[in-house]
Amino acid sequence: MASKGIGCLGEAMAALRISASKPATTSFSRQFTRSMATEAPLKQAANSPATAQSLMQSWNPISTVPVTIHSFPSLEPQSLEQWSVQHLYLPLRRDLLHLAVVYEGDNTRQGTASSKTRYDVHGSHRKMRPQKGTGRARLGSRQSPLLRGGGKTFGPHPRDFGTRLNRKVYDKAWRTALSYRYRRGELIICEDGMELAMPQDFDLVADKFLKDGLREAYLKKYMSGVLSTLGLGKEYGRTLFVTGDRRDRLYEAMEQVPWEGRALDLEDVDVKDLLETGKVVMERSVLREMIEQHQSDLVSRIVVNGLPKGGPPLGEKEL
Amino acid sequence: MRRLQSLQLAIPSQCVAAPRPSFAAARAISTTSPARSKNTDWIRGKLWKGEAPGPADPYTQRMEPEAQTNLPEEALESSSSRSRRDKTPAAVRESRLALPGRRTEVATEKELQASDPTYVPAADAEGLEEIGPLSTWWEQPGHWGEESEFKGFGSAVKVMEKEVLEVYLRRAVVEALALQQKGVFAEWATKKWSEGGSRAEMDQALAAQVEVQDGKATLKGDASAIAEALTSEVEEVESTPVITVEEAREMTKSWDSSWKNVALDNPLRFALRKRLYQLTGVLIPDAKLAAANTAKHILTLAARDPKPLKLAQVLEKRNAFGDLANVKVHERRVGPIDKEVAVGRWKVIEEELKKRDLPVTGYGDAPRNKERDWLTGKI
Repeated sequence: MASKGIGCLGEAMAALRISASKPATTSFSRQFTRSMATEAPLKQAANSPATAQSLMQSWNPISTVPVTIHSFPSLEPQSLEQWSVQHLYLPLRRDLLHLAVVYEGDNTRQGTASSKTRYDVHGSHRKMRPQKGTGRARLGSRQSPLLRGGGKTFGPHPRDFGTRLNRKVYDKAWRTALSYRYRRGELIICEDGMELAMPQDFDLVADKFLKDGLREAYLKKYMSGVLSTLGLGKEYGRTLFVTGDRRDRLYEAMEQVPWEGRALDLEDVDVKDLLETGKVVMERSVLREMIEQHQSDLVSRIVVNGLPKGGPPLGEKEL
Repeated sequence: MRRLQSLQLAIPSQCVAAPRPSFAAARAISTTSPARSKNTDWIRGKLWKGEAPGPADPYTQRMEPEAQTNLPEEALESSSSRSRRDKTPAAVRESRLALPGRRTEVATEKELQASDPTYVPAADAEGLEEIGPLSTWWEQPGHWGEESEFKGFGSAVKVMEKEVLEVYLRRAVVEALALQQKGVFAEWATKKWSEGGSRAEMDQALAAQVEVQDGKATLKGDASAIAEALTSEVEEVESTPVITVEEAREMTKSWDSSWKNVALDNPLRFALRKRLYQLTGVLIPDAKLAAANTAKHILTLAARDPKPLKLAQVLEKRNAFGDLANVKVHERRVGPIDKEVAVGRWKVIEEELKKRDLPVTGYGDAPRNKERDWLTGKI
């Protein structure tokens, strides 16, 4: 008990130190403190050069994390937003992600397999041969499951494989997936109206003069070039593009290069899609919509003073 | 059937038998035969009461149009020549894409034989030129031009070396500080800075001194010139100066390392990230960048750690077995081929195997030996 108490005290002290050193930390003085029972000797930051890993571990955002909004497809950083840690910096919970992915998988099962029992198989139910006297085994109708062409005894029948998951768990899993991508630097947010800008020379002739697969071949080569230039292609683990609705050029181009990634509407995306590819590129409004739809554990439905308690603010613009 | 026969009978036999005339010949053909035109002279004379204007046969003989325009001769010439030359749509003409022709015309065998007496028609496909399908059109040489190349915001050439990255980071810091000194940083933090492709611009930015005290940096140098170069709208040829690692090492040594302690706030972080992406093609993720409090941290986060040495290289470097005459360190496992190479027999073996048409390495078409699978219990 005593050791636990000391641990708690240490944690509280660490929190105090973080908040005290928050405004204008000139030199890198903050340390990563371990709250576990075993106390490891801490190195002095001044002596040892900080590695990327130790730097990342030392960063514990309390309220918000920065999100850069890029233009598409040039990926020029355009503006900066601050998002709540409750939305984009949740700790990784593999159990939640597993639950969500299994839940989605169950609910996407078609469940239409249907086999015929002996009562469904067509034909006469006449006894095939006399019960006795033939010297052979007794045998009933030709629908018997023992015979070829007979019914299936315990075959599959249409059913719903769907399972249930608490909404708050699913929503938290969704934000956990987004946070995971954010923390690994695999979430790229772009401005609204994400569309693939094609060269003017292509636009001139695209609709009328590129026939017999020329247009598709052009899009294929162009999109491969774009993705490899931006570091989003196959060698980087494919990319998922999420937009509010169908963007013709982008979707058509991505359909030509399915090995480089895919493009999906907001409605078609689920947690598994978010976790699947190497990078996720989405519109700013899509991110807002996603978080808005999946924050049931943060938003209360109980009305106090005429207003329900809302969640943290969605993406406040800083720059 | 009978009706068809009657139709064939009705058609003049010479018309059926005649070979299909060429396109040019077809144009000269007219429904009015020239012999008949003589019969119309009398009515022309009656109608015009004397000498009739125009050609005697308006159907076969074209009247020369009398061009009366005020256009200069060159314009007339070009417009007429173009209309005669190609009837391609305007969109296709304006586009720089290399499109396949609408029809390909090849000289006939007779024409070829007439021009080249040594011409022999091919009997099989051997040695003929291969033309791929349209799906590979853009892969063929000369079809994919510069106009189709995508150019992103970040530099196409990604800088991997830490020293070079440091030079560019210094440049970005100096430029951001220059903008701050001129008081236009708030306005220009999110805008696109001029690429600064020339070497002179880079040297100008790198020449400025950065003095840092308690994280607060001051720029000593021509801040206004640097800021001017960044905010100018001049369209320039983009050619990011290439810095070699040695050059970068020299440069970084000449600076006092205290400049890297400049403290960062969010706008500065954003600007540095953007500039670094523009110059080096390295896009630091948001979550990583937020952990950086000084320029030094940015460098740590942006640079890729050098590849760790292999064990053989480490031993070589340490000279671990240098004084032991009977110990040798190899980079890879010493296999049977390596042993043959060491005694100089491999060349001979390879030659003999090739002479017998046997695979030099591996099994060739032969299946692997089953006995091994029996022994290991796989089958």
